[in-house]
Amino acid sequence: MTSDKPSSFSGRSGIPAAMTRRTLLQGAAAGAGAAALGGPLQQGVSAQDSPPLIVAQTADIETLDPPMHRARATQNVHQLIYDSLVHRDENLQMVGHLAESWEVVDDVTYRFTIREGATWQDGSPVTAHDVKFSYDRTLDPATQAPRAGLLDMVESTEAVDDRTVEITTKFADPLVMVFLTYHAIVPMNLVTEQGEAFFEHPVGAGPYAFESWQLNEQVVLKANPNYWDGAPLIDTVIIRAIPDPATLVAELESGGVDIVPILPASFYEQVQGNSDLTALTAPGTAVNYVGLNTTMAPFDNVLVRQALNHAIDRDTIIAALLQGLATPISGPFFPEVRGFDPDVAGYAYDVDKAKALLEEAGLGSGFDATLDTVAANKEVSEAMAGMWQEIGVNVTVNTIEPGVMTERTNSGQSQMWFSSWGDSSADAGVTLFRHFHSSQRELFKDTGYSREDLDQIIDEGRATIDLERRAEIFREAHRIVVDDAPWVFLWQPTAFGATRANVQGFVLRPDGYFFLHKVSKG
Amino acid sequence: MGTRGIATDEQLPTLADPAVAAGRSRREIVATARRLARNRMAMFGAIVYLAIALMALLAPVIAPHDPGAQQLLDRLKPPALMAGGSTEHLLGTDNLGRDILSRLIYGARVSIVVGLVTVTICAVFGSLLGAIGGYLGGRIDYLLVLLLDIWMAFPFLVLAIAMSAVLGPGPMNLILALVLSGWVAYCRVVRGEVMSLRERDFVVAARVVGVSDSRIIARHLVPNVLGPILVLAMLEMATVIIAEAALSFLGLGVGSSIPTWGAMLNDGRAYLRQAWWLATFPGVIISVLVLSINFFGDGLRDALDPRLRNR
Repeated sequence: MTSDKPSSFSGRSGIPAAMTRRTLLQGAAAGAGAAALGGPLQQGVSAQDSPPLIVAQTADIETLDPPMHRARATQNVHQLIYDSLVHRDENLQMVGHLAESWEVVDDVTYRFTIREGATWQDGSPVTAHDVKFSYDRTLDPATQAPRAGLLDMVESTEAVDDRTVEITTKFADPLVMVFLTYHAIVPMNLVTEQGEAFFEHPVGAGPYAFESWQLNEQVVLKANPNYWDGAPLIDTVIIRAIPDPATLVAELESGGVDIVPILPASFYEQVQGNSDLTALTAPGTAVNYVGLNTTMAPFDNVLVRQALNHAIDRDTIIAALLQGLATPISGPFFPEVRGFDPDVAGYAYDVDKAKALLEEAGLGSGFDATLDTVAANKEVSEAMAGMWQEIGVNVTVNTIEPGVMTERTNSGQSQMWFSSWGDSSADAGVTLFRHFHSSQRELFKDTGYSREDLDQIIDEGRATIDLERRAEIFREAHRIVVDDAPWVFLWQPTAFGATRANVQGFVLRPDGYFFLHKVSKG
Repeated sequence: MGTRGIATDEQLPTLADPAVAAGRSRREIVATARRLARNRMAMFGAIVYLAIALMALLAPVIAPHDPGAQQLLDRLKPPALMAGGSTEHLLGTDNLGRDILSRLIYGARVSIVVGLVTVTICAVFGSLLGAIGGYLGGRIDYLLVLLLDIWMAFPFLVLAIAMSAVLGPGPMNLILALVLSGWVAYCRVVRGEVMSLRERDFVVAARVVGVSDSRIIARHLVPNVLGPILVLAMLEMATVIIAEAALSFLGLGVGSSIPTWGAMLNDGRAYLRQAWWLATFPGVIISVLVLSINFFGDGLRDALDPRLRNR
């Protein structure tokens, strides 16, 4: 899906949660409900007896309040607790979730019918008013929601009746449906009643009910037996935060973890060689890049940014460190994205050219810089630092916590940072808007890159519904971004995850999201 | 010399006369050195330590490769003696294709320098404070003991982590963090020694004839506590080297561009099953260095201990 980083590699993402993060250990009513119901039978074992399903990510969740983050690890957990109007299935086809059907009334009007029998985990029905409330809350400037940028094409949401909701967009946008998958629906009555406190122990309409959150440790969820798509097969799900990938794999091997949805490619052989584990791969929908802060010298000089791009030997890194599980990219998009321009050559590995560019920039003797990275990407970051050393650029690798990294890049403090960006919308609009449109630089200072003419092109492309014309406009933007090189464009990683061999029904999706209610353990 | 006039009095301890003291201590140093030289373990420790120090000093000359040079396609090559190894990389290569032997040689610089500098600063600073408190006593000593107690109650690792977070990693910040935690030990030992020496006749005599406090501390007390300080410094050096390795292991050390044994150990941890040599060699050399210093320190303590003198 668009935006949000695949949690483990990046850590870049959201803004710190507005609510207080506290360890919440309150009894969950839903847990008791699930036990009473028993759930469906799976190989003769009833759900209430099943051992917990343990999933591990390299980052903890940032908040329990759906619009208050831009982090993949957080979104993955929210999608289990909350539900959206629509989602995409594992083949990335649109399917109804809280909406059982929808119709496109005209270019800018979409009408959804709320699913008969869709309920909150406390038993009350989900209504069109909840949908309106959720979207309005996200878009309300007072909320200061980092996720508002993923909904900003919505002009208004109206509840026609209890089960019909109508969304009007500002312009004709072919991606509206995709964007709606990124937004959780929250219960209007409870949120209004309880205010911020609601998000310390939220109630959603998803397959799992929130039970507890121990900061930097784990989130515990209990099955919601009334979920519209059937009760989850496993009664308890624990999402653990384990930042160090080596520890993550060790836990997987020892059985302390059942599923790791995203793993660094360097563990591929090790996982494949272990008969207790199943290695899963899928075509990726993310790109890895190094962000360059164009507001800081010497990164304000485009020649320096181009030199840094030319100095990286992507093929060697992919072959040696990523076990072949990646494809080099020439710009911010991978080839499947609408707006990708195959004629853009990008930056071939060329040390002499890189040195010449530095010389031209007046930095022939090189310079010192610091590259922020997270533990999972330390090795690749150090390999790149070694390559930049070849052109005289002395890069110190600064390994920090994902949350610290988010803060540093959002506030524009990072000089260079290694990150990844997931965009499974297969349309350049999302990436261009989030990373290269000036309007987003207030929330996410990042590279500080802004160009008025590029803003206009992005605006025009996003408002163009004719897909051919849209692609053409985005290709223009693609060329500008590649020439300006606010990023060091690296590669498109192949999605790689692993489960214990006894885990059944887990699907590694191209977009890196996961849903667990059809997963069981043999 | 204020003491010169009465120093020859048979009733006074000869040590009160610096000239006599010097002569006697020279004799003692020779005797101590002899005892030390007879201690095989201590000599073994000294030789190993000197060899590693020499290795650090001559790193650019003896290291076969640039410790930072990466050969990604030659990564995880085993040591020369194993199948697949080559004499090009005697101890193999790490996860980025860097020569492990060269990194070990360069890494010695951090361990040796951080160890020496930290221990020297700690010993000078801590001993002086301890000597002042122990000699003067009274309110100043009370405040010193209070400070020591508070200081020792503070968890060192937390302090070091906090400093690294505030100041960022780097050799200077690392040494500062180690000094802040390390001076206390010297202060306590020296204070105790000085308190007992203070009441001894030669000190009393010096005071009686009007020698100034600072002179008494510098000329009469400090030389007499040098032994314990040296022994402590040796044992502390081992502790400091381990602390440096631990902080580097945690990523709080001297920074990622300088090879250190602790950081190598940490990087190798992820490859323990695929490539044991990444973590094993730095682990072994840390142990060897620390053990050699401890052997020497123990030998020094025995050599200085009057109760063991005639063995």
